[in-house]
Amino acid sequence: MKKWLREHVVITVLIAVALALVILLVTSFLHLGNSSPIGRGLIGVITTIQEPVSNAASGVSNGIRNLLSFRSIAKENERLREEVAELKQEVIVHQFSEQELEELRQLSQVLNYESVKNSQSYVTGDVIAMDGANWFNIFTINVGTDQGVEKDAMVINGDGLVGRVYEAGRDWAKIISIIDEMNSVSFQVFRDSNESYLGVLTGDGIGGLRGYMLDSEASVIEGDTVVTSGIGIYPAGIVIGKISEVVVNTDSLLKEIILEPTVDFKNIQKVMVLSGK
Amino acid sequence: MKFKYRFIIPLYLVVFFLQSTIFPQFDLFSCTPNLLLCLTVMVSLRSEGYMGLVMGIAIGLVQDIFFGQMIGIAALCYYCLALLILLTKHLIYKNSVTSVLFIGAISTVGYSFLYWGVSAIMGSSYHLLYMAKMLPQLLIYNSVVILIMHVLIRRQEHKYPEDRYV
Repeated sequence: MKKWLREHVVITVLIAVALALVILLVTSFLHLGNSSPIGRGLIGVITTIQEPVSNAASGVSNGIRNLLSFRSIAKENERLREEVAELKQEVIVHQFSEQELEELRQLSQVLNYESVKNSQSYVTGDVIAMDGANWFNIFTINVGTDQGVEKDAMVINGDGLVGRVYEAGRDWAKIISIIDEMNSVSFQVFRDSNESYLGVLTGDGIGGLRGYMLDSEASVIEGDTVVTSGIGIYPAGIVIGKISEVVVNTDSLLKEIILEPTVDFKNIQKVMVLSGK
Repeated sequence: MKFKYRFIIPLYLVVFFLQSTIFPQFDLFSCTPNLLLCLTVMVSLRSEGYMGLVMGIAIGLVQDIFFGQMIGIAALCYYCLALLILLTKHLIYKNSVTSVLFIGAISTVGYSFLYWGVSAIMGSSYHLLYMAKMLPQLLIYNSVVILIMHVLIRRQEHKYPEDRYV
């Protein structure tokens, strides 16, 4: 054996390297989300260079996009004006329930109850690097533990739920999108003011989300908005997406849904990280 | 052609920065070329010795540390790819554009399937069709990048006439 190894040094080294990589991969799989100190240091150094480069590229890209889409922006402006007018009407309606809410707040103080809203702080961050492999949606942002970002903290943007913090360093954090998520996420669908239905969803493996309703009789339809339920690591009330298809699985007798996420994962520039402080 | 590590290492780092910061901002139909793959293919094909293997593993590890859920997938894929090119490059006429594009296409398809396969073994839920539907686009983008790299390398070679007919 030793003689063979001495005579075939190149093959031996090549096999040893391949084995080392496989062992590294398996070890990494067993310790998901925990880079070594060397890895964390490397990310820290590289992100300091990536941040200004990414900001400059983002500025140029936005400038070009705005120039190219001048007409659509004008149309969007018109639409937004109409939406603002509608929202102003809604504000008037909500003002009526404001008084009721104030009464509930006073009651919560009396009962020494800490609400979800009050128990959270948030940090905003810019996306400074994105995966170049095209099909995963893991990206790096420019805020980290120094700014209060913690592992597993929820990440959102203006459109809804983006994902969670996979790993955090001093001034960077790796975000894993909800469509890449291997774990299940609990959700709820509001059909009317009195009834909501719970369910569980995961990434469908083709860039969308798929889930099932816990109640097979749940009357959910195409177009219903799905939000987080508050069970698990994600707090309640964050928009995940809209139901694009409802299918009754005759084998499992479950009502399955296919979701279209509200977030455009390929075009994220700013995010907000919620931390439970 | 002889590449020097003091030239190749900074080149790989520049390409990594381009791929992770600038290219995602200018993506076409939600897809960008895999510059690191193209560079590894060209270095493996044109360099002497094991430079393609070494650089493939190194940049694969950096890519995994940054964007992977697990460390080692990209490194292993680049390693297999560079090894395959290393073992077969004596059969290829490296100065022919067609041969280089053929190797580029085989490498893109091979890398994509290998990456998907290893990820699937390690528990990724991504469907084969999701990867496959991006493949035609990726093939076109990578071919363009490889073609540009090939032209640049050929021009560089012509600067050194003694290397021209080796």
